[in-house]
Amino acid sequence: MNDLRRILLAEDDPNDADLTMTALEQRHLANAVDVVKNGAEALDYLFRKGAYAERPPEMPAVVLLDIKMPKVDGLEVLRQIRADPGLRCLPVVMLTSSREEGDLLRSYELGVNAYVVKPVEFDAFVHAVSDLGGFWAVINEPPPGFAQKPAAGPKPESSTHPRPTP
Amino acid sequence: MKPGDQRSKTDRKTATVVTTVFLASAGALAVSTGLVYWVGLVALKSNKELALQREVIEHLERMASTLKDAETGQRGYLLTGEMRYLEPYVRALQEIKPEIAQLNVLAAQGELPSRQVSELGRLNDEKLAELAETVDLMREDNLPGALNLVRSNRGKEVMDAIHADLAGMEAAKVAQFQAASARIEQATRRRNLAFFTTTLFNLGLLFWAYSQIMRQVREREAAREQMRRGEQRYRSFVEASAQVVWRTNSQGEVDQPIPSWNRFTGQSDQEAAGFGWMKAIHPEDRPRVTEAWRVASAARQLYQVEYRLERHDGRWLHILARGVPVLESDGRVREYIGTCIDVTDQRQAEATLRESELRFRTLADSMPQLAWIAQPDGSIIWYNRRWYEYTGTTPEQMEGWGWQRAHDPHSLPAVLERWKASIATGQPFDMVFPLRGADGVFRPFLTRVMPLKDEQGRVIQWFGTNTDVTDQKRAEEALELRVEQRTAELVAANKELEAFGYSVSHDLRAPLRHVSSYISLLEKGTGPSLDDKSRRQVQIIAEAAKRMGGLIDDLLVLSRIGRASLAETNVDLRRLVDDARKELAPEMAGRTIEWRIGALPQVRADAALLRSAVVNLLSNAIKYSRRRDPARIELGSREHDGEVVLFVKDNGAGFDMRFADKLFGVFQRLHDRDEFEGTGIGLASVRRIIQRHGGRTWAEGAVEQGASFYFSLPIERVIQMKGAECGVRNQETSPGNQTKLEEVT
Repeated sequence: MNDLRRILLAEDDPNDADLTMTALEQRHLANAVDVVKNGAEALDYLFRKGAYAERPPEMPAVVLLDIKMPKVDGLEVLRQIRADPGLRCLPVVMLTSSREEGDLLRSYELGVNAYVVKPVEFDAFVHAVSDLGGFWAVINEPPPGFAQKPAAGPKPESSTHPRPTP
Repeated sequence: MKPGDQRSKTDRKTATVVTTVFLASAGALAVSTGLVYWVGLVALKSNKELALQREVIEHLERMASTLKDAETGQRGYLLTGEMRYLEPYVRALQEIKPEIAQLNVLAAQGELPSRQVSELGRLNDEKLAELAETVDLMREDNLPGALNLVRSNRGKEVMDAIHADLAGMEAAKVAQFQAASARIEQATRRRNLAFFTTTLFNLGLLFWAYSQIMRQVREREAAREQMRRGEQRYRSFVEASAQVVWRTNSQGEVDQPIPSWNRFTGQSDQEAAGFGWMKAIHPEDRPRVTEAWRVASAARQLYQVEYRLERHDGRWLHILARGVPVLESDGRVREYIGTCIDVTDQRQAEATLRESELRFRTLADSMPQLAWIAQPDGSIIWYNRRWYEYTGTTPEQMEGWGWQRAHDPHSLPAVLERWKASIATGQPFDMVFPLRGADGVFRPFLTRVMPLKDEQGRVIQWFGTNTDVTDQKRAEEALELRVEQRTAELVAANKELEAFGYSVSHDLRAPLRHVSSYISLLEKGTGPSLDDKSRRQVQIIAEAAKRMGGLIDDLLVLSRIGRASLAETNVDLRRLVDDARKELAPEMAGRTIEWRIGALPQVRADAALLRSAVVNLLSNAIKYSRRRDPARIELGSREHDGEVVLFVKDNGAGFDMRFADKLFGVFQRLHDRDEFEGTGIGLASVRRIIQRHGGRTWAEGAVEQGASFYFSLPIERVIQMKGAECGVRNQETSPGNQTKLEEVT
């Protein structure tokens, strides 16, 4: 599993972060998860600034973003990712408690790759998180020259996991 | 050409014709008369001559005859010797002498040649002597001597000479006679010719003059007729326009009856005569009338005066009297001719108008607005007092388009444009623009301009008012400000509410999820080591968290219904019901349900929301009928009073109609949770969804006798009344799920 690319998880709620990690662990995907506590840290991480200035330039396979975070929220992080030429193609999944239509619409407008509402029941949560992590981190083929280590797998269009629709 | 000119020309022509004809005719007559006279004279003279010649000739013949008688008597005596035969001779001797004397007279008159007459006398004497000689011889009975004397032929020779002489003279006289006769004949012929010619000439002249005069007579007749008609018209006109047509002498006295005056005033001829007419005039007006008369007659000019006149019925009328002097050729006034016209109505109308005008002015000057009147071309002809007071301008400054100086130069072009557009189209307009007050401050005025139009729709005048709307504007601004503030407050409140909803969806769900998740982890990790009681408690916690999650989700849906905009599409309700039933299949597991589905319409609606409503209703029907076997659920629609009404009817637990109102409230439940699970939000959502589509919701039911839920949609939303038909009665049987489907029509 060491050849798996990293996953960036931006989550302000330690319980949610813990549960997400637990879910990923149960699917054996947690070894490569970096956790940041808010949007500002996520941006620092992605743009290698501040505390993450010394981080190796390797980009994560997928970013899991909570929408509601202190300082900079998930939508803003998404906007900046899509605005940056280097990060534009980075897969981003919104992982949120919100079923708000507005959030959903805004996310898709900004070009999110998937939008997942965290189910209340843990088993369902585990399924959702692990499926996502598995798909984006393992199955998905990143754009050429984006990831350092290409992996074989089906194209997103032929994915067995349906993209959520508004 | 004027008629007068024509008449004088015609007259001149007539005179010329008449004169010419007269002169020509007189000349011809004179010539003719002279000729006739002359011819008469000639004839008279010739006749006298003829008579004379005839007399001379008679004398000559009687002379010859007398001589013959004397000779015949001599011869008879000689033959017979009887004295009896001597008698003619004796008589002839007696007659012959006067004859000779007569001839001598004629000769003396020159009618006969005197030489021949004296020769004739001598011969006569000689003959007579021969005769007397023979007779004497016979008397002496010397017949032979007598015969010898006769035979001597001397007597015969003398006799022949006498005859020759007489014949010669007679022949001359006859020639003279014939010449005179010829002269008479010639003169007569000439006279006849002259007479005939002049008569012919005069006849021609007469005929020409006749035709000329007749033509002019006809023309005059026509002119007279025209004049008569004109006069008639004039008279009618005067009678139509005037109540009285009068005539007075130069002093103003009535000297001939004026019937129209008498008819109008009721005065008699005697009453009106002289200055009696003055009595019909109002005493207060009499001096004025007298003065007007004095001035007019002195100047020989138009007399015009207005006075009150008492009519025959005693009513006082306003009369306008006018008269013109008729002048003699020497310039003196012969008479005055005039009319009296009743102007009472006019004066009253004028008075009313003055009054109305005064009222208008008073009103216009006392109102707080500025007001003005403009000509159709837009130039303003009147402003009320308030205008001058407010603007501090003078009437001279405001003349025509002078109003522009009271305007703000910035807004003036727009005002001019609107004003000119209105002038061009005749349309009224409203506009707010600033006007400068006398204090130099511009204040906003609402200007309203209305056209006054005639029957043809042409603008006669424009009426405009300017109302100071400063306070109004301020109030409006204040109101706008307040509205803005309120709106902002509302927006803020709405935002807060949204934030609250947002917060609920994120923050309320997160701890629940944590509770649920960690309980699940706990159960997995330590479940087997827990005793039954603890395990049950853990289960309760999990279920509570789950229900809480459902509640929150439903609440969020409800709040979203109110906020989200409707995404309207064509919705086939029949298909929507089928989809809902598929979705609800898990809830129907193990049950037998008889479905009776009637015709359902296609409507214009938000598919997702309507689906949610239908799912809620069907879910309720399935849930509350679960104690029935078979459960029966009926769906249908009908059109009623501008709406389409849809219903879902079940034979389930029903409800008490007393609580029907509570059914659609949030968190309102009519059943214990132990009996039927639920959040108490479903029907509230249905109501919100239907309300957002402009429809209503209501329910009917009775405890344990089933319930009917109705919702309506405006008929405008119906695209097609009958939806897809089900067609066959089909009974679906799957393990543990028995569903009867029946088409109801």
